Amino acid sequence: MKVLAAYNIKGGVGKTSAAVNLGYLAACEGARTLVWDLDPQGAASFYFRVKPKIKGGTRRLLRKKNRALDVIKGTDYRNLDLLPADFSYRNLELVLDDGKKRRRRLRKIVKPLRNEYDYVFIDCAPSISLVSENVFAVSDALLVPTIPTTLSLRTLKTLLDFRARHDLSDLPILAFFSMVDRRKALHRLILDNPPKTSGSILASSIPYASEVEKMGMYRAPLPAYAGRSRAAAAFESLWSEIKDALDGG
Amino acid sequence: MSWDSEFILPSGAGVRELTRRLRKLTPCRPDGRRSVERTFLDTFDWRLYNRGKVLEERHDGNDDIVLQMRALRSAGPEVVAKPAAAVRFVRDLPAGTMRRRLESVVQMRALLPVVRVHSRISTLRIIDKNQKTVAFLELEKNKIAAGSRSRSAAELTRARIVPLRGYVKAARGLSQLLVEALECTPAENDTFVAAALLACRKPGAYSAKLDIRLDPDTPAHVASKLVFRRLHEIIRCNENGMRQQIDSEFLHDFRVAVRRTRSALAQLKAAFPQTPVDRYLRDFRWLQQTTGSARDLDVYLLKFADFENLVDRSLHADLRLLKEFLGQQREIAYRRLVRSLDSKRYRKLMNDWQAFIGQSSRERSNSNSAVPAIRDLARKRIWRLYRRAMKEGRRIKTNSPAEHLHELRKTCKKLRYLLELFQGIFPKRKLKKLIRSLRQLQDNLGEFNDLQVQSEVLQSFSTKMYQKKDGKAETLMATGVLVQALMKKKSAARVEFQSHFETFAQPAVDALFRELFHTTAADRAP
Ligand SMILES: Nc1ncnc2c1ncn2[C@@H]1O[C@H](COP(=O)(O)OP(=O)(O)OP(=O)(O)O)[C@@H](O)[C@H]1O
Ligand SMILES: [Mg+2]
Repeated sequence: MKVLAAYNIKGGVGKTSAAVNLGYLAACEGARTLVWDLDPQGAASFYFRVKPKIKGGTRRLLRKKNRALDVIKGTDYRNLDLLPADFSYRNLELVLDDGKKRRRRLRKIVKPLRNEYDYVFIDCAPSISLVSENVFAVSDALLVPTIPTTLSLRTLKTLLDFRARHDLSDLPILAFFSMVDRRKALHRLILDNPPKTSGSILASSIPYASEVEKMGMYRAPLPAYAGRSRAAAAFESLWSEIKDALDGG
Repeated sequence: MSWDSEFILPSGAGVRELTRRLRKLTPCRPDGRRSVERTFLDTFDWRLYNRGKVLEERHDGNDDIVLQMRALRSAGPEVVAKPAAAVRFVRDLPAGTMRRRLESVVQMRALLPVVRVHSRISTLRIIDKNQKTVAFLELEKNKIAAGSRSRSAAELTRARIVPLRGYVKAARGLSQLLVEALECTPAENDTFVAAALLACRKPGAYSAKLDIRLDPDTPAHVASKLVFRRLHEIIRCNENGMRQQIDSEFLHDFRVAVRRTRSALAQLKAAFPQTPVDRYLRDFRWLQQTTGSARDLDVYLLKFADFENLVDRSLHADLRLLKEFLGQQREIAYRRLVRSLDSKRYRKLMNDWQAFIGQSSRERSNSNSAVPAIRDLARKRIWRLYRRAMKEGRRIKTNSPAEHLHELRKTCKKLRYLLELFQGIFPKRKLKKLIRSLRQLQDNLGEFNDLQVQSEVLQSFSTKMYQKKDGKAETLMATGVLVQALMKKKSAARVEFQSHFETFAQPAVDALFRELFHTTAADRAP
């Protein structure tokens, strides 16, 4: 099983759409796939039409053994399940902090998933916090959607520095450009000459496209309603590049 | 699962009728109708069915192949894969969950069609107020495809609930609804089993296991004939698969049955008149020999990946020619094998043997002396073989010649066959223990012997290739490196022998052999 976290310190960059669409593509290939909606906002749960609620909330999820398996919901798609969001995730930071091994507490939740799934996609809330550190500890790689702007690249640099400082050098950071608008000169410039300081960035990028926005309207993964769109093709190419990167590393 | 998931529709009600009625009872939405050609797959020896698995290959309209595996009598597929072409061997599958799951069960066996079914499947999504799917209901109309004609049966028109994780209540409710409001009957059999039976295939029918129930007091000649008949059946069942070269295990099962027959015959010959026994021993030995090289080549090819792993990656390309050569040799060996199966000698052997073991036993019994009960004869022979194994094992020192290990290996094999042939008449648990301790010794001896033979044979093959000019010096050299590695492993196996033998020779095992098989004076008294 591989755990892939859609993560960025910044908000609104395409984390949720990456987690949902990549999860969908993995499931389509026959891999047993789970999307874990770890954002109290519950956007991923919303896309799958599942109530953002876990009985017993965060505390029960953290305390009771194998609890995750009881609260997972099947989505409308084969091989694709969802661990829904819960409002109590707002306080996750605090809940995690009141125990031993505070940076490793999500492990217990992930453990029983190992026999059940080939991929777990975690949809993270934006921030860098104890929650993110816990996510890093269970992840095999971070998927970092990055808008091609100067500011976003600086945020990416911050993440790379954080990794270096915290001894996480064997956690691959798979950054890719997201919401790319080729009409914008800056986007073009950055895409064609990605700065060296930002580490290596995947070749596939996700274009800015109105079909992606429509996920909220259809409440479905993009490839499920616009399989032939350019954006869907971009996610496919991104997914195959991610798989290659995981195999290589 | 405490609720039923598969149902037979009430007589008279078709799929359309049921859908119409269901839609009045619960919010649901049709989710398409498709025609699928389904081929249920299993190995010749039903490895999947025996593990409670159902594997099917589905062809939708648009040439795509979908492979689905699920548990018997359960609804949704657990694993799905989309291979590019129809899959015959697990190794043809793309890497992934399906392959991993199948690998350990199916191993080297071919996946064969058990029954072909033409299905029209209408799917209904049962939905909640957010339009979220909470369960699927698949309504299937199945026809068995038999040649150009097809057969349908009321039993094959079914409703199947495909539950969704986390929505058990919805699935249970639907199940109740189907029974109570729509007069559906829970199906007794999985669709796979029902369809197979209608096509005259009985899942689980073939097995190479012996599992013969024997009364220990049965006279030896009667009991051994039961065993021989079972072995004969296995021999005949595998002929076809050998001829068609479906996979390597037909020949393997065939040869094991032949060898067991020989072994039992040699050990229990006291129960039969001598003349026919000598002839059958001779003929079965011939059969064993004439099929030997085909099996050896099967093994080399099955093991080739292991061989490759023994040498540096840079040499793999050079070994490819060797593999091709082995493949050609295998073709030749199989052709020879088929000629043997077609020969008069084989046909006559099978006919005579069948008549011999089919004869009612009384007339054939050795009239001079009373025939011993199978228990007594088996005990005597097992005890004797055990003693021989101990003697042969004890004389082996670190510098003993390889032949000594070879002798011991053969004795252990005979002992193992006897223990297995007559497991029905001794306490199961204790026998299992003995077989287990014997097996670890046999594994070591087998490995030692295999490595010895393999290194010799591979070397001679590659030399032969080189001399025939269809080989390259690189291949000859790469094989040399491989042979070195095999020899090294062989020495390791030789070093380990002593500790394996000591484990086998420990007092606890000895005591158990003694308890089960040693005949004391008291036993012998009338
Ligand atoms: N490639 C795209 N083209 C157009 N719109 C997009 C694209 N990707 C995402 N969006 C839209 O941008 C918004 C934010 O995207 P998304 O929710 O995926 O980002 P996020 O990083 O998960 O946000 P948050 O930090 O709030 O969780 C959404 O409304 C989404 O529909
Ligand atoms: Mg989000």
